[in-house]
Amino acid sequence: MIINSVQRDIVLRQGTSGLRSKSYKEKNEQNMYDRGYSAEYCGSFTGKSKPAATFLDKILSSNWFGKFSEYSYKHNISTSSLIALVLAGIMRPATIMSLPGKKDKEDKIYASGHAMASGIIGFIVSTAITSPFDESIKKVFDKNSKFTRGKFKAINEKIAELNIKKEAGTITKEAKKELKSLIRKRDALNTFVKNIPDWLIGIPRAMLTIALIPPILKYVFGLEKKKKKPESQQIQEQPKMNFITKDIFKNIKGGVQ
Amino acid sequence: MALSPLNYNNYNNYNNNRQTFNGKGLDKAEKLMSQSGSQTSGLFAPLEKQYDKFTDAIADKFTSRFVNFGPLTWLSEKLKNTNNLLQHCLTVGAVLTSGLYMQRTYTNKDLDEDRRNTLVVNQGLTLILSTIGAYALDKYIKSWWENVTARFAGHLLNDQDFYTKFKNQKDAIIAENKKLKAQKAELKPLPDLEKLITKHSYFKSLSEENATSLINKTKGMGLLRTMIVFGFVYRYFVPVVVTKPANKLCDMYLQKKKEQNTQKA
Repeated sequence: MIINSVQRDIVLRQGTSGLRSKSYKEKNEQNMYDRGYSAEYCGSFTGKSKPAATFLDKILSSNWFGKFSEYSYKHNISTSSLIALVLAGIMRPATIMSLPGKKDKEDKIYASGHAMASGIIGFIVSTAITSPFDESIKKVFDKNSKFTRGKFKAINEKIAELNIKKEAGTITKEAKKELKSLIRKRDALNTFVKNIPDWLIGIPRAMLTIALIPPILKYVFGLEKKKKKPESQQIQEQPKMNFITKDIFKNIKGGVQ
Repeated sequence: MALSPLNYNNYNNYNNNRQTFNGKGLDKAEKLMSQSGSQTSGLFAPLEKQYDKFTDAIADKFTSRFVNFGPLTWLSEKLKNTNNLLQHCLTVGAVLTSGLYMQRTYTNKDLDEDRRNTLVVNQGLTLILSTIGAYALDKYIKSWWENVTARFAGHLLNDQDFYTKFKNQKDAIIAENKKLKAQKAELKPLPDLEKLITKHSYFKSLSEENATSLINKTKGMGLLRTMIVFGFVYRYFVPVVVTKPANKLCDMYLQKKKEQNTQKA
């Protein structure tokens, strides 16, 4: 048989009928029986469970997580308030609303709105106020900063000097200890400087939150807390014993006079 | 034109015309992307310039002076060896905010004196217990979180075995320390993750900027743990789980006190 070019092409490029394609089972046999979990490790998130570990790896290897962790290092207060926003603004209202009890539904809605409003205000205020400070801290703590002065400048210079000695391998044991101590002191300073603004804005932020919650609840969430009536007004009026004045009782005579 | 079978194949066979991916354009694309990322758009450039000037002024007039502030440098010197500095900072923040709420409760004229006092004590006790709980939870998950950080570092270092090596090393020392503890001998220090990262060949190959960014990312993980734990306790667990039973206990106490007073009268 003469093989023409079309037939030749079929034979070479598309395979022969003798090479049958693999079935789904054959192709996926390995994966079908390895679903990533076992009775031994099911359900844990400790890294032993394969699906959990894969999920964790997916998050950890993602670009956004790397950026988020760097952001957490640079902006402590803003990240704290972002976490608070997720917890107080989403998880807390969801939990409050899913709790049983129909009687206090209005209270639950109010509590949820309150939590959401405080989470949102906390995040906006914290981020807006502390972001410029965080940027300035970065500029001061930068290796080649032009904003260092006084004792802090001396610490930086000493660290740089000891680091050069360390890299050259001429550092003594005592100098190594001193370097470690100075780096720790600078790190502690960094943590304080990043977090002290939160102490300073903590009280005004809480006051602002308290003041802004009612209008936010009213205009954003359409909620308005009704003032509870005082107990005296809540007590239902007792039915008066006015039957004595009726004619039938007036005619009854007797008793001690 | 009449197509011979050979020509027919040449025209229709997609293999002849398909596009190949040789990666030559990648370098150009990367260059363009990095350029566009570093350049600010014309619209925001003046705003960013102003913001930069503003933060320069804060750095010059405030932050550079603040880092030299006597009590602050003294405190840093005293607390430089503590591993819980961020935890202490978050606690101070919580104490200040809760203190404000306690003060407002104490001066609330709509509540009677007994109720005011009990509520203030209730808020104070809740704060103390939740702070202890936050420290305990933070400590409890510290080792597990360190393993997660090692996993994260492995991804950053493009080294799939980094996590396994770190964990094996750590587990071996923990097991050894258990034996040493029984013998009342000196315990071995656990592997230092930051040191292992900085000694890694991939880390050494990075530029200074990228190396700093990588270290900041792993340091950020440690901070994230504390922020999540303290945020969870203060902003979720306490308001949802603790507040209601605490208020009920408070009501029960007040009711009991009221009954005792009426009995006396």
